[in-house]
Amino acid sequence: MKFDRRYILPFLLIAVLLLVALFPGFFAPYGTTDRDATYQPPSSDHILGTDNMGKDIFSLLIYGARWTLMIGFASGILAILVGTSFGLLAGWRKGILDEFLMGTTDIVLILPKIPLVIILAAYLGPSPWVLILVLGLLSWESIARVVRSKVMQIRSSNYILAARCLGFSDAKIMVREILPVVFPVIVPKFVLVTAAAMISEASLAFLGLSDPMMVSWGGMISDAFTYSGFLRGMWYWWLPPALCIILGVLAITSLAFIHERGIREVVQL
Amino acid sequence: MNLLEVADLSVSFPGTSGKIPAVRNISLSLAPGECLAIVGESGCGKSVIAQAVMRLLPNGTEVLGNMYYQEQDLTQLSEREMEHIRGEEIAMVFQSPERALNPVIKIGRQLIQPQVLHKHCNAKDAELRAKGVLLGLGLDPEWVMNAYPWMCSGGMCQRIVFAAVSLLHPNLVIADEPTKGLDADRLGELEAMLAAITSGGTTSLLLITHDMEVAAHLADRIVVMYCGMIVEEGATALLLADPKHPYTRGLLGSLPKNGFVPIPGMSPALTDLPKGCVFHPRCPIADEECQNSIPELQNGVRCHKC
Repeated sequence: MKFDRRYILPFLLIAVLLLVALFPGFFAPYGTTDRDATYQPPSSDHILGTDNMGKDIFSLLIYGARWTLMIGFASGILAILVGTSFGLLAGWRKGILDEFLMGTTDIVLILPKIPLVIILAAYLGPSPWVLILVLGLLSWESIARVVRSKVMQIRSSNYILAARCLGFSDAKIMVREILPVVFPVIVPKFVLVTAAAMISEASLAFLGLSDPMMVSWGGMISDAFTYSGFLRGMWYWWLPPALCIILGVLAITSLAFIHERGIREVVQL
Repeated sequence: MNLLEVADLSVSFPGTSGKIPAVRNISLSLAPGECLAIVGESGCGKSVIAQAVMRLLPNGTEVLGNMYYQEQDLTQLSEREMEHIRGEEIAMVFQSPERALNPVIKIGRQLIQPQVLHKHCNAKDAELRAKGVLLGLGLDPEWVMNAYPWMCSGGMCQRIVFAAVSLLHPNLVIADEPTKGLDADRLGELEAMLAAITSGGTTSLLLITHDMEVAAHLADRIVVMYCGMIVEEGATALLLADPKHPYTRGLLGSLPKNGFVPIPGMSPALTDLPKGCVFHPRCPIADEECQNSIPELQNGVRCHKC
């Protein structure tokens, strides 16, 4: 398949974000603990000024990419792993195991996510790892459902029967024959869960429920709101992190949309 | 020694109102290099025999009797031992080969993986061997190995499926209705490929078909089934020249070249089989005896009147 030019922009955006998240020290002019005079407007020393603690906002923005992306991707991967294995097992084995796994899925499906995170954050203490676990472990239900129905649809197809007749075991059939067919369904789901986790992180941080020591974009907006960044009209404090969140989510989701459209075009050929 | 020996096999499925007997007291044997055809109309249980031999029947199916493959009792093997038998020892081909290949996996991988699984060779040798077999079947190996099944025509898929099976050198190939829905061109090609399986003299073919003509061309012996029972069996030439059982005669008479005369009536539901000889409601020569007692299989025929 030849390279789709529509991929370039979102890929570029994600590449920049990842690069910044991986090597923040290389891009940021100051560390997260360096302090200067507080509430400075943008200047040549501080491109985006300083916050209430006198920290360089541009550096915070760069360091914030790390946790925002980390939480997004880690919860996405966690959700995919749990959802895909639940869906595969339930769809392939059927019977009691299916009932049990889908019962579990239904319970998770009806749990209200944000309130639960708030309660857990209150009890377990705010930590990015708790956030990853909770967001990841509460976002897999729809993946499990979709994968299960896809598996049930293809489990009785001839090529699965043929694979059994060639001596493939159940486990090998699930991984080698079924997973590649289900894969195009998983990819957009992964992207959506990742984007949703990034947004959830931002909203939780804005509600003041994330780790105050953790620099994230949501946390920056929250700080700007709490420490009068809005009142002082310091748009250069809250607007850049907001734009970063929007761009990041858009880049990731547009990848999924383009990917899906690509598949549809191939199928129509 | 027979390659496959099926002894007194009965298979019944759980139904809403009691068990459904799909196959009753079937005994078959298959010598190395032999081609045995099981012929009968839809629902007579011929495919169930194949699935029983491969142990592919769903859980809850009642399987009685024994099936010996090279003196191993297939009914006693564990699932893991069966995985070794499937493909390596007994292979199976189905109707519509275009649906027997995974549409999202390149054909090359689908030809290499089974060989590596059964430890015939490493991936590199497997690729070479696959290419050799494809070339022998008149396909462009480089193109086919990198193609997806949906890029190939039905005829190509048919050859690819045969390549996948023959690369594993099974001792027994079961072909389940391989000729269903084929045009004359592909039918000829398929018959040639099936004939090539047994031509070496070591691989046996169990051909399951509703098509008397195909069976006549390929089989050394023919078993005719009706409602889960064997009604007649014998060497192909003999059976075709002198069919004894009225059902066999009816089947042959319904062929286009023999006048297209259908057998009156329909085959009964397996849940509601007639008393006595299962064929008597449709039989032109049935009398009172046929209505009351089930005939035994004697000299290859299950009929009171022959």
